[in-house]
Amino acid sequence: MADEQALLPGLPDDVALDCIARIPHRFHPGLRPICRRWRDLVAAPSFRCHRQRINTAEDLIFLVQALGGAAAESTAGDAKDSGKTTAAPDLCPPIYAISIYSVTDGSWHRLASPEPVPMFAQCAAVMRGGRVFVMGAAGEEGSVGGGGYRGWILEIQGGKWRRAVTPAMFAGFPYSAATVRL
Amino acid sequence: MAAVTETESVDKKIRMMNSSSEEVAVENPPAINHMPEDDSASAAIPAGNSLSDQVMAAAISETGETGEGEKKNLRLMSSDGKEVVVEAAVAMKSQLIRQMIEADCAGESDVINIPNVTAAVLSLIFRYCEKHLGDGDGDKAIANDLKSFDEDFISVDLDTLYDLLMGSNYLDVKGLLDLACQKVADLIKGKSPDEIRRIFNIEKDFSPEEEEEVNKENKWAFE
Repeated sequence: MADEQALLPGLPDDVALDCIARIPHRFHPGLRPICRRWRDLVAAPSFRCHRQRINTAEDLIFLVQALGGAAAESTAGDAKDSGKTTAAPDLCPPIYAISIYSVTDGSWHRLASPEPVPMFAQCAAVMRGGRVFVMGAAGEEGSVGGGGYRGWILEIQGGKWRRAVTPAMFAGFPYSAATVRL
Repeated sequence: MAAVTETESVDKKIRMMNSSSEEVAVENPPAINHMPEDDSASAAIPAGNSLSDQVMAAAISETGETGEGEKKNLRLMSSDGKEVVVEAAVAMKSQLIRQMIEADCAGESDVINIPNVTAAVLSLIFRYCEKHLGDGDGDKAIANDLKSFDEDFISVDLDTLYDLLMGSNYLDVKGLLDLACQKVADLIKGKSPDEIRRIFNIEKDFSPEEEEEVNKENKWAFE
């Protein structure tokens, strides 16, 4: 098996780590495709700890936001042009997305999610391990509050999504969420 | 004579030092000016540099050189066999050298070996140290001037940046190490993976499946 290449060839790994840990969080997804070691580093709990140790960790707020009516309007617009009577724009389902606000540097970013974020999704954060949970229920077509549900775990580090398994009896709209370490 | 000011003339300055034993850093830093010539007026020593002042005062009173406020110089042997002469107060911004002095590892005429750093890089590092001797004075004008100096100082080619990283890491000059690490981070952020690999000479080692997966994973929807 070939030797692992250095994080930054020409520098010892501890020095390289001190450099990489200073890169702001919003650039981390772009570091994953560099090579195996960078991909694994950015998602590692030790990396998160190192950033906290050298005081470069950032305070992030995750929001589920309903996007403005642009997407809904264009759908309604097409329908009007075709001459059909259609549902009024405000009955078109809104589109939700996850936004991240960095308190540390005041930057905003919108996260692309693997599937549409369902209606009334909630974010909850687990501090240990740096994970954000996004849970929501997806309505079936034509009804509000239908039976489907979707849950994901977003690993904040590196922006990796994982599907969370939620048993049927726990399906439903999450109206609020809170986490605490007991 | 000021400390080394141009990296291009470093070699020239070093040759000069070898032949005539001139000092590298001569400008009186505030710490030395305030230092009393007898060792009883220690209350006059400014708080920010008190430890190094005390060490300096002790060193001078021990050797009996109190007459003309002569600055104590240190002689260092670089990894490439050149002797670098530097004012002790400047050199002691390096925690490694400071500890060696405090532990009395170098007497009056001993030469300190620095086996990991070349003379050129040593001179660069001490240029930073000399500029930052008054760190913590709290004067805003000085702080802005230092920030501008730092930005210019660290705008070097990647090889020199790596040398500064390794040198400041070995000599334990925290301010310079932080500055250099931040510069590397600034060079990486915002660039595409291809660019980063090219600049830093990193080999892409994904299998085709791994590459497909890492590209499929989430990116930001907008930057």
